[in-house]
Amino acid sequence: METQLRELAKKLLESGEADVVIGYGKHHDERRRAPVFITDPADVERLVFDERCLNNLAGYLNKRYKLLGAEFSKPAVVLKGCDAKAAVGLIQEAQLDPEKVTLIGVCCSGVVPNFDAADGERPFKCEICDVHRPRHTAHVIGDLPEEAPRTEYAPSELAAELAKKSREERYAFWREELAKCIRCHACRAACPLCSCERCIADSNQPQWVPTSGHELGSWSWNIVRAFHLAGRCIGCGECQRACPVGIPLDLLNQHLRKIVSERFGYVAGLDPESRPPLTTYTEKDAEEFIR
Amino acid sequence: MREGKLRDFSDLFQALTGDNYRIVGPTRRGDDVVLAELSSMEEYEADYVCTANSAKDFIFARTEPILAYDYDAAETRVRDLLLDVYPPTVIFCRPCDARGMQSLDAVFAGEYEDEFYLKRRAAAVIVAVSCTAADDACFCTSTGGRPDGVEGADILLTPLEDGFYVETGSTKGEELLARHEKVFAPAPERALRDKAIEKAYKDLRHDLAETPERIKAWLDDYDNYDSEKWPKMAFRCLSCGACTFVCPTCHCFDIVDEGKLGAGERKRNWDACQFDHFTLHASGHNPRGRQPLRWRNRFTCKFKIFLDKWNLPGCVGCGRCIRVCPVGQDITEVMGAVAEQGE
Repeated sequence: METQLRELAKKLLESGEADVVIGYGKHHDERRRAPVFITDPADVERLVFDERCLNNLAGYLNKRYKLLGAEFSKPAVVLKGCDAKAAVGLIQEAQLDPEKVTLIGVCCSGVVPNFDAADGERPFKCEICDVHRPRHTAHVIGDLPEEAPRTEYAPSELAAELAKKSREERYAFWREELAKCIRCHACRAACPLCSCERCIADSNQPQWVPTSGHELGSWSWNIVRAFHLAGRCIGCGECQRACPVGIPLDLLNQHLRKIVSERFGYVAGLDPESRPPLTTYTEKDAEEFIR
Repeated sequence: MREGKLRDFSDLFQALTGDNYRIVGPTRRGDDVVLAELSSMEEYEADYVCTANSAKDFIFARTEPILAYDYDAAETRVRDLLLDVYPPTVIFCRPCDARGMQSLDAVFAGEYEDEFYLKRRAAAVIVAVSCTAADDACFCTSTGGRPDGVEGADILLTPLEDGFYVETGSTKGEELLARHEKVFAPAPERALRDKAIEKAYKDLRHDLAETPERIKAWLDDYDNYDSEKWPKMAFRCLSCGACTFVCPTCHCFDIVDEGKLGAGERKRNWDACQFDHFTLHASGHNPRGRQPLRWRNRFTCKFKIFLDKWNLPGCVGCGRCIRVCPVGQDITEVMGAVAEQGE
């Protein structure tokens, strides 16, 4: 598989179809892999792919990083099935021109975040994965079969447990979790769909979201972040993985996915032609205010 | 320097609580070990390599209210929120954090004297506990530190099979030892202490020896400021601030007013040079508009600016930035790459 990937990368770079291939490479810590930017066809040997490749590289296609246009104009990006869902989201929202990027899908049987741990536990997203073979990518490397898209919300064990709790218990749970927040915004940076070039949290005139690490500041930020992803979050889990203080952000995201699934019958990241329910309206909408 | 032996850790804990010290130390929180205020000795977690947060949190606070104001039609009243005295606090941390404190002292007690920092610092006793193990991210010896370094600490404890080898690093530490003479026994053979940290030395990386000097030479050459190598070393960086927030020497902050109609507070909050709006000018111009330039700044601050201004390390090799980075941006990888160019 790696050989195929390297051959394709080489071909794309040599033909000029791509000016960079963003993929995974080695890290000095053998338990990890890290994003690499390959611009020289002679360097394609640095590309690797295995269950240590955690990052959602669709994040680099996000306009916020200004990599496209400024540093590169024709990127090719290696995407697992789940990551490709984020690219679908960016295309739906006209944040990404599919003509200008080459999406390289890689078949994936699941990732292992703590690679040296004896149990080799996979994250929740791998348990409910319906894209072992990526969809909507120009190329697919690997030979896993295509699966039917999962069109209903499926909660993780933790999310189901939390949902059973009373309002007061949930409030207490989130008070404790969000008290850890140091407001570094790594959750935003790692999110492929947090694509605002100017984030509301960065506005200081007026200061909509307090930058302080107190309860008001931390709640404002985390709720704003979650709300902005309603109907858009594809569940890659990058926010939670990036969080340096271990806040289980995916539980918030899951709750949003649940509501969007129940109210709109919509699951994000499946169809580049569809419109996410919260960024569009129809005349049949029940709410008066929208008409 | 005074030396001694501490037979039982709880004796020291009791002595300190008896002195009315607030105690901050490593404790387990979920999968992590963090530095937090401890209410009892049972909460102290001795089995860890490096805490998720650094000791700086307790001296240079994440959010520091500076002043409070309120106003009505007649007048505006302003209250200074600097306290006369801050609660005496003992911080049990690793030697790398203690060394980081020296670097922070240079920033906050140098050209400008930061009253909030200085008062909290004066009320703090830093007790460093030597490392008996290191993980893949640790690299203190590559930036001039030691797993058993006393630099920046008032007291250094090195775990022995039956207690701790005690050394002092300041008069504050000596006074504390003298005040609690009964808790400490005469120092055993120093070889026992050295043996305890042998494994940590062995586990630490040795491939980066002498790199800081080579890095400095390359950074000093202004022709390299706009080197095309910078982007290559930093493309993967996502511009989140996680590395700066967990760093024991990063110290940039922002001043904000948080108010409602009629009253509010002025606060000092952590900020990060990795954010794209950190250097955004009112004109709209941004001298560090691209991420590789922001990464160059962080690296240069650590390996050149700190040394030029204060002859102190800007990086103490705690490895936190490597552990938390969601994209595996590795400062030691850049150190290696820059050092190679400096040759």
